[in-house]
Amino acid sequence: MELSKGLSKRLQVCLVAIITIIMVVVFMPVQSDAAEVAGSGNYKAGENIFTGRTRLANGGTPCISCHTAGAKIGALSGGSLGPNLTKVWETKFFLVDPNWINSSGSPVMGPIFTNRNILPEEVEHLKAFFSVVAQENVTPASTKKGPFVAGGIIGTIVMLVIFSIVWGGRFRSRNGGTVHEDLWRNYGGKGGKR
Amino acid sequence: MDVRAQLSMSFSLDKCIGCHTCSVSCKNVWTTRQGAEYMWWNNVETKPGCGYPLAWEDQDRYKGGWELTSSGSLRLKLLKGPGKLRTLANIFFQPNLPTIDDYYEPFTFDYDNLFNAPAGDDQPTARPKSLLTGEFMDKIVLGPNWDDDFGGSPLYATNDPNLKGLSDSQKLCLTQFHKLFYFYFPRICNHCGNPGCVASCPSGAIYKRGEDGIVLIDQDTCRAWRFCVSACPYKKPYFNWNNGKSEKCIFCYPRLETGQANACAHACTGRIRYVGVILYDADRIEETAKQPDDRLVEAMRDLILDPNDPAVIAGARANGLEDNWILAAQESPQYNLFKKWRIALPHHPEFRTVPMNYYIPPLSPILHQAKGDQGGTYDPENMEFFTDVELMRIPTKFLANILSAGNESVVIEALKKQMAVRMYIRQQRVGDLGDAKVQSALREVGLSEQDAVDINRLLALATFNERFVIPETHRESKTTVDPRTMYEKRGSVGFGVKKKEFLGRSW
Repeated sequence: MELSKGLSKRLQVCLVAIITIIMVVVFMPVQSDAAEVAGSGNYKAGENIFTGRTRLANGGTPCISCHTAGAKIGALSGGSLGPNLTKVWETKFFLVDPNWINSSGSPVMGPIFTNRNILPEEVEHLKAFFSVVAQENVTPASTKKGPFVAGGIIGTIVMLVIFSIVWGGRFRSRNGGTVHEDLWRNYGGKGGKR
Repeated sequence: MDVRAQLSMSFSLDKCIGCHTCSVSCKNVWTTRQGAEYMWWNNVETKPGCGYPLAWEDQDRYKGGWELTSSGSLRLKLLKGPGKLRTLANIFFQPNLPTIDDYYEPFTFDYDNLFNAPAGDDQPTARPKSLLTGEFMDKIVLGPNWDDDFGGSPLYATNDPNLKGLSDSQKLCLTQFHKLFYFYFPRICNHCGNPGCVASCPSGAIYKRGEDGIVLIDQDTCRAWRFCVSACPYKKPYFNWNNGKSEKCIFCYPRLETGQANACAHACTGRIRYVGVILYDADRIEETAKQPDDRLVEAMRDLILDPNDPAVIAGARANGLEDNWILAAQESPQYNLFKKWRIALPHHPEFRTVPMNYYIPPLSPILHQAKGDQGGTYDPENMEFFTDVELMRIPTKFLANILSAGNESVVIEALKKQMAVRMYIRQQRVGDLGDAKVQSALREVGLSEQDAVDINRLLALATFNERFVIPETHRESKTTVDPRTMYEKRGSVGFGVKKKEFLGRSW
């Protein structure tokens, strides 16, 4: 490999060591204390922030728009665009951090939160919320596609029928056809298609 | 007072020869694209006639423009009833849209066949071919200037919506060739002060530029709801079926920004067009649009501000107008024609969109009236050059229906002024009218001799730089354009589909 030719053996070892440490830090399961709430936040306040019942002070989008966490979040649970955050406190606790959320480096959340920063207090509440939610198991999203597809098809047909009833024949009833035909009628009925 | 600048165009209808050079130069510059074949951002109509799209002036049919509600507020005719709810209910199918049959099916001819037909007994022909379907067409039933020079009359001429209120003998003139009258009417987008298209757009894609008053459709934001097509009483926004966006006359803004005249105005062989800056008071637009029909033209003149008034100049500076714009407004042919001399008139002010282009009503044929009231014919022996404007072949009521919401007095004023100027100049050149008669004609319409000289200069002799007083735009100082992206659309001037690199960028 071109790259390794240029690097001394010692440097390679160092790199491997650094990467290993990073990996360990990132993926090390965190042993959170079971019943205890992390940080100074409040679980209920955190839940409200997550679900958007409490608006973010700077107007950012509530977490639930893209994420879900735990099984008790709303009737339909949260969004599935972003990762499921049920276990975020165990796996990536360091990302629950205002600096990371607000940084422009994260490609999806960056554009949302760089202009509308989430506040450190709000993140404290979220930490409390996540630390409790992390005790639950991840509930996979419903995979029953059949009823959804069938419902979609039936809904589309119903919509089309309604459209056809509401808008069908509108053009024909408008002045009885094209302007040209109307001009002919107005002129005395000579010629024209009708 | 909120002083804004507007680039505006005037048309001297007396000089329009109906050559369609304007339409063709506009077409060549802007609409020779697929999906735009049927669009004529500039078109020339024969009046009386039904125009393009057919009967566009009939707002009972198309529901364009504004109307006054019983409570005295303005409402789009299109949205009569529950307003936004009506927009929503009609969003997928509006009953008031013109169809392609009301414009015309764009066509070409199968020219290849003329050159490549195999030898045979018959002359090869070039059959018409639709530009929409690519199929051969049985026959062409409509075109953009189908009733040009009274072609197809009397069907089209008798259906002109502006004939309402004319006497039967005047209408009869349309069917008798020795009595008939017509004139040409070139049309572009009026770049209105109170545009119906802007107000109707559900996507908010249409805007009137603050710096020069040009009304544009943002091609990235347009979602083809086509409400602009319906709401515009002049039917100047068009739907491009190829890229699914609406387009309209852009007043050649890429040319005007660099101080060049519009393609149509530049090409005009009759030199009928004048382009200049007028200053108007944006605070009073709504009030102007709400005036009763007989006050509309006067109110629109009141809306235009005197560019030599120090208060107006201060207001213009405060609004960020550069000195070259103020200077251009002071030298503007538009201000003189519309406000100072009062010989130009707006097009269909009763649509209440406050149109910003003006028309000088036609005096011709000046020589003789047709003695229509006595049942007589055109009299070539008559040496009376200047007859009463009320007796001219083109009925003033007809002009008033087009240019002043039926108010004949402002049309007669404009015609009499032109007549007085012609008499003054004839007295200068030929001297057969007598000073007393000329002076009394000038006095009657309130023109000074200097005014007469100036009007004659502008209407008959003006050079390129007198007809087009167009200041360059200070693009660098206009906040609507990000300086980092000033040039990225150069060469594309706002048309085409949304480019991927523009998606999701914010500044």
